[in-house]
Amino acid sequence: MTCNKIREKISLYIDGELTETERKEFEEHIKQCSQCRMEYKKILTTINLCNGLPQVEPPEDFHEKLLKKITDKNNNKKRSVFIPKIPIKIVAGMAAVFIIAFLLGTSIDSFFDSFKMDSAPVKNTEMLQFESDGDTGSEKYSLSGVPQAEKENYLKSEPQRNLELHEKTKEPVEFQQKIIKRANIEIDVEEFDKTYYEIIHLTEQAGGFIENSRVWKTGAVDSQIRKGRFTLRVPEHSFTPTIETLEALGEVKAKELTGSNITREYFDTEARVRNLEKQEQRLLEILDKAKTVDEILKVENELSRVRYQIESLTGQLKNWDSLVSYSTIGLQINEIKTSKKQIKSTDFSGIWQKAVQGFISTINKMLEFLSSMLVFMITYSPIFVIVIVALIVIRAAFKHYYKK
Amino acid sequence: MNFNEQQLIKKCQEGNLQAFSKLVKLYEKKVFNIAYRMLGDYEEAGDVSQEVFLRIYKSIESFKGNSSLATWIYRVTTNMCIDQLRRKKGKQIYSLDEPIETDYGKLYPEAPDASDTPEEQVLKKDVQKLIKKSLEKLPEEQRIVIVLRDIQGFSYNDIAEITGCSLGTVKSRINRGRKALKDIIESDGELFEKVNV
Repeated sequence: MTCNKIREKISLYIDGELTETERKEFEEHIKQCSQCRMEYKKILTTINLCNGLPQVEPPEDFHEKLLKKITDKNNNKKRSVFIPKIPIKIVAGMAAVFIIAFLLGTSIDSFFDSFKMDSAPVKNTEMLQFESDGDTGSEKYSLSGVPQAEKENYLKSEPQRNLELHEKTKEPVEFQQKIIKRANIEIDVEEFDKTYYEIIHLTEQAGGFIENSRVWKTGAVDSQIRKGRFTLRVPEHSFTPTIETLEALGEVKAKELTGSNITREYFDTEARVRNLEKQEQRLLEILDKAKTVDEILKVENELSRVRYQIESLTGQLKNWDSLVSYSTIGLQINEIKTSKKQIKSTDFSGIWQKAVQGFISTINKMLEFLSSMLVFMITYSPIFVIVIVALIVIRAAFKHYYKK
Repeated sequence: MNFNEQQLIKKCQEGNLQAFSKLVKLYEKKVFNIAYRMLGDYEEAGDVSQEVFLRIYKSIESFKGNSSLATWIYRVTTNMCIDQLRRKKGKQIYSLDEPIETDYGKLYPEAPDASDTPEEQVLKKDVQKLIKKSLEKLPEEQRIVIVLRDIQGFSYNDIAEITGCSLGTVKSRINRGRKALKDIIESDGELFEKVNV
């Protein structure tokens, strides 16, 4: 037997766990091998030292304290049958879920809001005032202000009137609201050049074009800033999204939206064109019948007057078509110097005012947050109830499992 | 399991506090000593022992007698000691022998004058102090078997049941534990010369 194997058996030998033959072998080896003998003696001493450690008396109040704890626990148990203790980890987790859900909830809400705006621009334009600025002039229609019934009335009466005017024309009159949309926006930007190209890019992306643009410098010599003015034309359907993206380019200083409802004038003009065309047709018939030069000249005169009217009215219609299908956005951008670039002398009253304003806005934001939190909590309370019940059930299941 | 013990368990299961008090009296000393040797701290041993009996009280209803009551109690004790040791591991423990490095220089920690505590009264002899310290350096699994075998004197079979290991594992653990303890004591000082090997 090697020394290693003998050493593995020292412990078992001491405890008398070896078989008879093993024991004899061990004793034989120990007699011969002084190193193993030494090791054996050291381990035996170690064990004796451990054996010599005294048994310690538990604290005197050990028993009383324990019994008190048990009775306390019994009382607690009776009280907390229906209110299970929820560990701090679960509470913290729930709080985290709460906050994340809240943040998600608000962002989802705003996402849906923007979605609604995109898909239904009418909703947005309804808020605008529709002015009829044709020859009937002074009439004003505020669609948002007009009761629904009246609006329907208006919508119905229009094609009817058109039909009356052209009783003989069989083609169905297509009825469509003709609204000229216009927006004026002024924004402050820090990076002028970047914004400039971004605007061009955005307009092209929206399928529109720049009708006009102008950039100039202004201000005192030492603090010159650049300003730019654009007239953008974008397709009617991308009017609202384009405004939103433009607004995101900088800080909006001013914003104005107008919508002119030219439906009535448009169809009136259209009708007039048709009538004039018929008149032209008749004049041509008369011209064929005309015999004298005088007659021919008179008819020609009348014909050219009618044709001139047709042309000018058609031009007007085309202009309206373009204005309706391509909305106009007037945009002004002002460059502002970032405070990083120059050290300004600060006046302390200004700082104080800013601090007060900041303080007030923080308080307002907090109040806003709290109120929205309350709304959120009440809105989602049914879900919370379900979640809490589920947690309690899971916890109970866990407890049961652990007991086993 | 003898007849008396069975009766005692039954009473405890019925919620008889007096019976449980009796049961605690039977086992508290041994439980406390195992905890004390495992943890090396008198106060902590007290706390953990209390927890052990609270656990026993809570779950005695579901005790079915698959193992003996004693084995069960000691198993709970060792498990809770290990839990306590692992919990302590996370926390920084300052050694009283080494200075603590701070930004302001070295600080020499001083233990509060504890010569009157029961712990100190128990540890009057240097040799005992040394063994206690050495024991605390043993890995958990070896410490358990050494405490159970060489301090509390349990049999190999009992230890196997308490720790839930096979007999072979227990044998090798005891062997390795004793050797490790011997090595620690050897490296710590000339104890073996003092006690005249």
